[in-house]
Amino acid sequence: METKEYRVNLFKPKTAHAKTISKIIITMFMIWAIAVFGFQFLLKAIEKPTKEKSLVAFEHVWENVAAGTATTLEKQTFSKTILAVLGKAVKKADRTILVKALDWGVYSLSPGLTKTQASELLGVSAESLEAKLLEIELSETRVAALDSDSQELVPGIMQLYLTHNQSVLTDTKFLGFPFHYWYTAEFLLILFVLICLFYCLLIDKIHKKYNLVEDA
Amino acid sequence: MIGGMTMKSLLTLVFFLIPTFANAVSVTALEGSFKTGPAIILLTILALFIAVGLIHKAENTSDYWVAGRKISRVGSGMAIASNWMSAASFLGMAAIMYGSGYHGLSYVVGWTGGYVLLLILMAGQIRKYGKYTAPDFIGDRYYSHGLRAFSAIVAILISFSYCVGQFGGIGLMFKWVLGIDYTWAVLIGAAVVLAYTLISGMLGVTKNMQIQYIIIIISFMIPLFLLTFKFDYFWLLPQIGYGSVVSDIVQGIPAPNIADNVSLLNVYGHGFAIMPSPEYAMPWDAATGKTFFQWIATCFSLMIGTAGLPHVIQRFYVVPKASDARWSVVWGLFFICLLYWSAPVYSAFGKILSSNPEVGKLAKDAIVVYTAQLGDINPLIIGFLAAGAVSAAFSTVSGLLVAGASAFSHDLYFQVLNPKASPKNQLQMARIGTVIMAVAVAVVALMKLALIAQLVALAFSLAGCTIFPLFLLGIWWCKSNRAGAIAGLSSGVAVALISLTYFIAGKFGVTLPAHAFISYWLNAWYFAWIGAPIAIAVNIVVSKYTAPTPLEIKRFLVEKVHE
Repeated sequence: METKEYRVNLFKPKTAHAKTISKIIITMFMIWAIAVFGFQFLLKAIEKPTKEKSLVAFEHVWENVAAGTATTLEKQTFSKTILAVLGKAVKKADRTILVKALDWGVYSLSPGLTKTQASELLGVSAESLEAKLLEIELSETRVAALDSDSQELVPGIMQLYLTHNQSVLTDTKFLGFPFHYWYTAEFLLILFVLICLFYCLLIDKIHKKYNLVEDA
Repeated sequence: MIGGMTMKSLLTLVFFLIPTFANAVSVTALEGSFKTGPAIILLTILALFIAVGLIHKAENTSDYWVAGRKISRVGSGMAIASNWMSAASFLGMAAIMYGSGYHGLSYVVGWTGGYVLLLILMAGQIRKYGKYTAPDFIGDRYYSHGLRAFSAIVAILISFSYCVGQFGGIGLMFKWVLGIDYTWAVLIGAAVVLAYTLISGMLGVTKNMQIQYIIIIISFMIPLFLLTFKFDYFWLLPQIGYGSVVSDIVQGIPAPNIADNVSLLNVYGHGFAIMPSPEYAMPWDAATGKTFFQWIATCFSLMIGTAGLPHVIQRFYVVPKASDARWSVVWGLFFICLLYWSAPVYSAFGKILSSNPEVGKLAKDAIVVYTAQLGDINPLIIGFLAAGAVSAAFSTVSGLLVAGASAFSHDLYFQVLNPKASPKNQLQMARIGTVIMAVAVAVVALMKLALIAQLVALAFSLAGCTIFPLFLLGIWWCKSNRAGAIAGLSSGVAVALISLTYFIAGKFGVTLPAHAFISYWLNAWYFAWIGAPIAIAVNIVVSKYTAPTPLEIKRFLVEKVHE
């Protein structure tokens, strides 16, 4: 009997004061959990793998490139799409494959090209990142043909780096941000501070209502 | 809240010392050289910390552990923020976002959202319980000296792994400023932080934490205004202005015509340009190698870890009343958020400013400082930024060393091994514990096991599946008893051990059975996602079928903690 009198259980509060506190805690917790995790699950539920323009262009020319029947324009497009990926943070192993593909793409246009001529031939301006990438990544090795490794791996690598999980929440702009980014990086933090603020105000109010004095 | 002497020191620093650095040499190399201006700023700030520690020296055990319970709400909030904002917050968060994009936001949300749990579930109640340390609470609530000793060891391990990341950050910044070897940088940093923790104890540490907060936040903010202004974004509020930077990264920025727009160049004269990089902002992008599960697991583990960290919990003992403990969380979280709203700005600018292939590969953990350098910010301001990073690491390390030493001296030595120890003897043991821990941490930090934020996340997961369940059930379910606590803690520790065994084996190139499976689902950075629920469930089940909690514990919980 005595043990029942001294029961503490968040979900089965006994006194009126405990019931009020329990209700506040559970409400605050639910708001917190739904705001944080509910939003991420929503983001996951509605996302669609979306291709970058470079991937669309790559897929358009890849069949002919792989078959060895690509035109000059197709080779130029192929090389530029490879550069688009090399401009990102790419794993070392993937970079090695892409650089070989780039070498083939560029030198198959004209075997005797210099790096500056390569930029001009691909139609990239001297100040662009693509030109800098060509200067750094393009090796002196003239690759005669795309080897079987490249044939097999390049499409997967391109897809990996050029496909992104997008939805209306990522495509909508708010204060300049993609909405989902603003929500997670800024709004959730504001919400956390507000939850804490309201919780303290409510608890102080309840303690006043029940004439509770918290000892030092 | 900041003593007159301290304020005077700050004013001296601002008005008299800084102008003498005006002729500092411009920073052109990102690494390697001795940087005079930044070095003087760093050394001045460190001297300031030691002076403050000396002025507010601990005189007895109560002062050493809980600062004599004299700290105000805002002061305590500032100390919470400073204690919290470690090298992981200052350097590590931007590093994770720089390398892993949206995944990095799981750290931002995890390290702030945990405070909501801490407040609504624990803060006031912990203060009302009225113990000195986290193991003190556990030993008392679960009426077990064994649990007190075991949780003290766990608390030391948590503080230890947390400290390793901080020492790594200190090493990186000392290396950058002084141009010295990483090993020496770690050793020098360790010696300085150890010196003033030993001299001052928590009273000095708390005062220092308030000053450190001001240094951390000002040093972190100034470059943001300059970067947004220089690169033509909304600079009045960089935390909003960088939204367009993120969108620009997603869409790509073509190279500017240098002749027309000379200002939009990095320190090397590269144009402010980047190839379209949606992987920076899009959720769980495959290119980053991070998944949806990892986002959720990391975020959740960091949140419950926050509510279970001994050195964070311990801060609630330093305020006079339970209501002060609650309000100090609100202030603390607000002060923390000021930095957490700002950290992504560095990673966003860093992404663009380092996108030119000629910049080369940068150490992610130093991206905050590199970003300021690449943005051609004044070297003195960058020096102040580096000093802020060191302050962030120092403030946390000092709190951790005190928490670790308290666990060693108070919970292991006094409560278990030698209950007759005099206060003087306890203080001596606390100091010995601090020295041992600092030396051991420095040795492990030299191994460079992972990124700062990841090493710190390990401490959070450990806290999340050991200390957090004991506090949660200990406060909110009086039927949780000693047997349940022992079983729950053991299962949490078992999960942690499995995860850490695989992590360490992997680091030494050893492949264990189901290595890839365990490394993914029980990763060292987020194993608490499953460890904590298991520990809670085991605690509940065992408590239901074993001897009930003694009546006096239940009475204490009802009458003193919840009324």
